[in-house]
Amino acid sequence: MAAAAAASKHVDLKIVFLGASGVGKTSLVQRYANDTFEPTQSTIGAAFTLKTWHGRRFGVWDTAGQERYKSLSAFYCRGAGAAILVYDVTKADSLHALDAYMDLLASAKDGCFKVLVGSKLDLAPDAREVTLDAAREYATSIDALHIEASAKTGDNVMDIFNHIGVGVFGFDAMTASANGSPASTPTPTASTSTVRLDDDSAAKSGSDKKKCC
Amino acid sequence: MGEWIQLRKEVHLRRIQLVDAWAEAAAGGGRAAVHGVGKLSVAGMLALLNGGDAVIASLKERLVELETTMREMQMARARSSRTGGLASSVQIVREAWTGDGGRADEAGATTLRTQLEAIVSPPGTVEALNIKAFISLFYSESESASTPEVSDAEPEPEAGVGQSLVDEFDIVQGSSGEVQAFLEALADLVLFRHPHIEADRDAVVYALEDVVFPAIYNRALRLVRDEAGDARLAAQCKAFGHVTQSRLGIEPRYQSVQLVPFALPIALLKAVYVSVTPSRKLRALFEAAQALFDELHAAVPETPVSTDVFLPAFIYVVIKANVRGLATTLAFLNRYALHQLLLGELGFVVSSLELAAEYVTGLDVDALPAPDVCLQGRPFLVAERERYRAFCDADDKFDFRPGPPVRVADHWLLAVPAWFWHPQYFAATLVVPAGSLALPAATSGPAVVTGVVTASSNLAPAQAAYIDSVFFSPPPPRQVISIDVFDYEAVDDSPQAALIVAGDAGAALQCAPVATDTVFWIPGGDFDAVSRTVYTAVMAEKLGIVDGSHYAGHVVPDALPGATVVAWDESLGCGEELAEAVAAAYGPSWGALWSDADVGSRVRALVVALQHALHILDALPVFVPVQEQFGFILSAALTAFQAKHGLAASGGRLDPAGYSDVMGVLEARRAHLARLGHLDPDASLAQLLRTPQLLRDAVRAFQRSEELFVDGRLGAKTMAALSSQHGELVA
Repeated sequence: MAAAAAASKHVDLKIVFLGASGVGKTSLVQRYANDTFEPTQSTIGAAFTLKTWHGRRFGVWDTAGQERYKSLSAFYCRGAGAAILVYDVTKADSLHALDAYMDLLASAKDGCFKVLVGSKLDLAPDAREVTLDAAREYATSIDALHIEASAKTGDNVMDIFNHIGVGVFGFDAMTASANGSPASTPTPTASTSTVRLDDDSAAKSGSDKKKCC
Repeated sequence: MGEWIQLRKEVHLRRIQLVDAWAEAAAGGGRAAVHGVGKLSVAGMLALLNGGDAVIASLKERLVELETTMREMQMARARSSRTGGLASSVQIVREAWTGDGGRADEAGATTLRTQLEAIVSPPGTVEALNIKAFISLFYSESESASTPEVSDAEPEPEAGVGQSLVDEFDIVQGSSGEVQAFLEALADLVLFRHPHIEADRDAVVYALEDVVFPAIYNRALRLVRDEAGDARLAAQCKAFGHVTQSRLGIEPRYQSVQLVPFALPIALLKAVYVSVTPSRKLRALFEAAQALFDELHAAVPETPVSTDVFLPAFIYVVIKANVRGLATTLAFLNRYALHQLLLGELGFVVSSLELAAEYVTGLDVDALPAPDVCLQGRPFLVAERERYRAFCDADDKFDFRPGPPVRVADHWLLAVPAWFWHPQYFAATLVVPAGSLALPAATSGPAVVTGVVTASSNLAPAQAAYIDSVFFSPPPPRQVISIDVFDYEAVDDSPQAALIVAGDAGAALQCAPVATDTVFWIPGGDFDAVSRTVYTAVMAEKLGIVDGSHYAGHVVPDALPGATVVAWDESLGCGEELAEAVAAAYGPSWGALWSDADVGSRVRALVVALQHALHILDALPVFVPVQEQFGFILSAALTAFQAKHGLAASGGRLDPAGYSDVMGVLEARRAHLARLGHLDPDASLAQLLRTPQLLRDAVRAFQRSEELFVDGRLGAKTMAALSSQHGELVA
């Protein structure tokens, strides 16, 4: 019965993680879900996470990154209101591997909000292969916000979701939060390439909820 | 309702107990094999029929009893849903509507009616029609009846709806979610009228589903039925039922080590089919997924289970569960489940199921991780410990000592037939290393044996050809053939293996970190020599022509502490020495069987002839196939036949005398049939056994002429009639 009760939770926004195997999707999900790099157990593992953002319920879907399931991952994208496209900043080919996922987003909702996330930021100083410029250029080409984050240190992980929340529900959703404990303002830190919400592209993304994937 | 649920729970529990009992029996004595969840293999059935474990038998009996009761209740429920289901639904909702005082709020009722009718727009859909009928009945009842009771003796409202559907509408596709939207509206109504109800809205929706969906389920299902998809998926699940965890990409550390891998998720997934409401189907599916997550998490508790880990295992579960009507079920869920739910956890598992179904539909054996790179190294010969136990208990020629199971990561198993080894659940498997023999250095505890391939009915032609090309060039004699198909499921993925290593010491050494005390090393032998020798040795032992002195085991030198050489004796090559031993024991014609390279096929020919003969003599159960394997079934049948016909017992072994005796009995009947004109008198028995259909046709012709039951088998009555007819003819 507990399972049924847990399973009956409605979701306001479906967010789907996409990216090649090993780029760190699951770690990011876990970090967001538990705000820790330590593993924890949820109802169905790390595959699905339900988290509330200023009264809105985010359903975060992890997807399989293996090549053999890539073309089938469209099933996971169906009805998604936001997509987090993850690449590994230490692996150049992981960025352009995302090309294959763009078609899958055709099954997402119209105006699906996209965020390009460079993972493993903590390893960047020694092993960066994807430059900020290249990532930003790619983000622009797919009409996505760009941010780099580390599941290990937690840097910028929450901001990914703040960007999505603001992008989909608007700033009002944060400021009108009834609990009086708004999340940190989703502004970038100097050490990352986070697109500022007051940038043109970000502002457009944040205000234009009908933007097509 | 409560009784029904209780009964279903009890049946489920019994099934689990039964599977556990089989598993236990299989582990303890290797007598029963579990063939998937809820199904007993033929071998398992025979074990039961032959006076197997009383606990299993009693469980089986109770399960049959419960399932019969459940079927009867199900039929009663179906009858009820056809006659009074909708009326009952109306009653429940109307009671909620009228409240304790029994008076409806007229203004509210009108508003609600308008709202509900708006929900079912556009009209002309099955759901709309049903909902309209529901509304109509609901309002007519509440307006006309002074009492809220709705009699089940009323005309069948459900049949009327169905008729209206046929008369007034074509079956057209309506927009999805209508039914759920309607149910939600009803739930709001119920909660509005009964603020004291402490149930959340979803719970009320589920409750309403339970009363509404049984009434519309069959038509709803018909509307979404995908027969072609169902058939394709079922065929694929069946075709790939043998695919192992490894080949589907389940990481070794997550692979199930149970006798029936992922038995609980498989059992739960099967329940998806029997549920009749979208929510129940979703919950059954979710519980299956959750059980799988739990199992995967238990395997590696230090790491959260990601979709990368979950999905291959889920595909494995979907294949093994082979859920009836899976494509239709998915269409049903997508059409009737509340779409808002499909964005959450439930949606995740539905999407996973869709992905799995799509993957399985397009599954091609060539697309699976190919064993090509695995097969170029040095081969191993592996055998399952549990399957050896009975043999080892009775005979210590082989040194299979107790200890932890050996599971070798990244290795591929090939199966060797049971009859190579012992006529009682004695499967052996061949394993070859995956590319390199190096096992993960960090392996803590046992790794997992991966992959099973058989070379007959369970083996895809491409696999068979591959095995031939890699191992058997030139192909014959084939050393790797099918295991007993009855035992197949139990072999699949079983980690219970002792390891016999053929090849150089280096190969063995690299396996040593796994579990040295269960590695059996045969130094210096290549695959062909080792397999042939072991095969020969076991067959020779089976035929009683060698004794224990040939199996003198000895501890392998320091390189592999604790390991023991088994079944190795230079004198047991399959060449002249063995042929001489056989010839000395049974005469030159039998000795010749062993004197050339084609040992296997010639012995198999004898076994096949014996199986055909015993079938025609009605001494083998009808369902036992002719399969070239001298297993315990054939052994038992031979013993029984010898006893029945007063022949000399051969101890269940196939020896020349026993073989001749059986053929003698059949030859007499062949002669009778020939004299009666049913057979060509020039056709010898040996020829007829190569084309046994002729012999069976002759028996059938005789049976028809005598107005006997026609089955092509020489049962007691046919045998008596044949003797009598022949006697008259001779007289």
